[in-house]
Amino acid sequence: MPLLVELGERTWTGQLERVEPWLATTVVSQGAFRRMLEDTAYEVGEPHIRKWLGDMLDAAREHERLIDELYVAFRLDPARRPALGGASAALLAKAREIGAHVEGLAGGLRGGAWRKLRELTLANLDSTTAFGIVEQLGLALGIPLVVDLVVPVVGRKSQHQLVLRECLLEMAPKAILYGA
Amino acid sequence: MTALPTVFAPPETLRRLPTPARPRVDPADVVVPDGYDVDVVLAGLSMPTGMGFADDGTLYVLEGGSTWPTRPYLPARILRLDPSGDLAAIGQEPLGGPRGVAVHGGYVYVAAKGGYHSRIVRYDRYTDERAVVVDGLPDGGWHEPGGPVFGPDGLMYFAQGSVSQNGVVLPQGYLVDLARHPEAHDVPGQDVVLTGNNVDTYDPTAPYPYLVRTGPFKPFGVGAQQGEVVKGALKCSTGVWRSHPDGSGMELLAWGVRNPYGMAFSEDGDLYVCDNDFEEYGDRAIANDPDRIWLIRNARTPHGSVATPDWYGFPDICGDGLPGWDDKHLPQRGRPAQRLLAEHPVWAGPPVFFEAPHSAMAKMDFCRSDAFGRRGRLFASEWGSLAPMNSPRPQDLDHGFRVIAVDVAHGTAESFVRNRHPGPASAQGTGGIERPVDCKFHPDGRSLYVLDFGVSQVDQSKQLSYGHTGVLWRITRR
Repeated sequence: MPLLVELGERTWTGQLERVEPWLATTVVSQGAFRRMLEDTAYEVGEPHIRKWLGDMLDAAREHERLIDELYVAFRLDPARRPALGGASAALLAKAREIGAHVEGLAGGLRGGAWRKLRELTLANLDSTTAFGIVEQLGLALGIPLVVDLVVPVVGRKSQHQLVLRECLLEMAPKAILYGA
Repeated sequence: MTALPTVFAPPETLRRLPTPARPRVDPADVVVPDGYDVDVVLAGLSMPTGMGFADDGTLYVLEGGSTWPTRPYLPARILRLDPSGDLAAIGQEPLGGPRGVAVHGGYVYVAAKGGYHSRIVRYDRYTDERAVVVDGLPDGGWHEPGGPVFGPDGLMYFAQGSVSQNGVVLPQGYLVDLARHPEAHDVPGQDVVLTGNNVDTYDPTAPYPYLVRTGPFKPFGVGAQQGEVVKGALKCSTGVWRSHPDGSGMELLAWGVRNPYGMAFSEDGDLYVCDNDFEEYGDRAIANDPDRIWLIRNARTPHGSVATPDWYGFPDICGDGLPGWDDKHLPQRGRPAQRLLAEHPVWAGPPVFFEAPHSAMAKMDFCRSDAFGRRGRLFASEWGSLAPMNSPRPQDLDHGFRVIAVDVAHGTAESFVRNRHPGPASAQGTGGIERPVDCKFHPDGRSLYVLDFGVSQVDQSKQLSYGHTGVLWRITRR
């Protein structure tokens, strides 16, 4: 009789249960990014950059909502995910903002928006990677729906990363040399 | 040794697997000639790449780890399936993972891709102790180590494919290789003189799209000069070698074989190696290059007697003997190729068998059994096309995805294991085969085992492979 390798119900269920904590991590990481984006988008004076960050915020909210579909694709209960915009995401966002502030002071910076933009760049990188890891789990467990959902998110957030980095670099001389 | 979690699966379980990428596996959907039966031995393997039998019927199956594409990276395990049915992992190879296995004299010999260099390691069959016997085969790029197989002379024969896809390291190879192995490049098997033709492209790993110029046998971003001599090396890319089983006495038999993944000895002692065509995309694109099987003539010579290895065409000559810039090979997509070598060594072709482009010929085995039938035929697995990614031609979409039985004397073949319609089962919604990567005869001579890599989907811009979708099939004569 044929042998199933790692596809027995007990093994398979165990693998899916191991996915759940990472989905929760993704919720928190993306939630923290979205909150920081909300805080930053309206502080930036430069109109083009403010527009780009505003567009990014719309996408960030959509990506956060999509995580529910990922729970379903993995046959997990979305009711068990951390609340969107919940305490964990808020705490992570605040911790990153404080970190940016402290690092900024140490670096002699006075531009508050630019400091937040710098932290936002790191937060998007972290949440992009979180989604990228979800894609790997979908591939590893043979679930195309997960991949179909996540690949466009990772692509869009990778574009956002380029935008954030460019904005950060463009604003850097003014922030550092002129304190603006 | 680590036992794996396995459960027995009656047919109804195989028709409702938990992996949506491959929800069912059904021997009834696999077509073989009259008089043969199909059944399933294992299901749920992750990226299997090769297998080999011991004389007692113990089967070693490789899970490739990081394969095609490089993600997802799952455990690169060497599995042992005892005749009793027990399955266990006897070892794991580092990143890159195992690609081919043969059992000889109390050892399990495994070719592994590695990082910058491929290697051959051997595991003691009784203690699982591991030792590296060959290392330093140029890699870090696109293609794979081939073999190992053992000849009637007791020597070990093995191979290594090209580092670049089409003769020059370019971004059309996976970007991770440019980032992880920036110094990777092809190495010729004998001294060559370059034309100085380079390929201009961009560097996707740079913060700006810097233009870069790259030549053959050079790392990405390093150009070649007209008249420049590149020294040949024993440990070249595109090479076929033999050595004693402990790796000593290594001798280069051939080079210029682009992707020698499958190797097999006939009953009368001839060595055959399969090879895959150039890709029709990117900045050095070549069209309509046939897949093929070569006879490696130097395998018939006494060990240690090869003064100059035979040359089989890479990086300039296609399987049909025409250069990559011939009208027949001009691409519909991508930039046409230019000549890279100022003078070509004597071409060792033609092949003994031509196959349709992009069939992706993989591992092979000769039938040595009257009980199975078709004795003397070379059974060759065909992983299947990567079109539309590597070819824009609709006719290339469903090449491969089967096992063929080749008559090497006449250059003909019959389709031996296939789906009802060309292409992978997942594209047809059936429980048939996906991508056969290896086929080996059981030592009892009654059954052909076919290792099926599993689901690997391709579109114009990407390739996605799914874990836990690999299957080991068995075809038995009634």
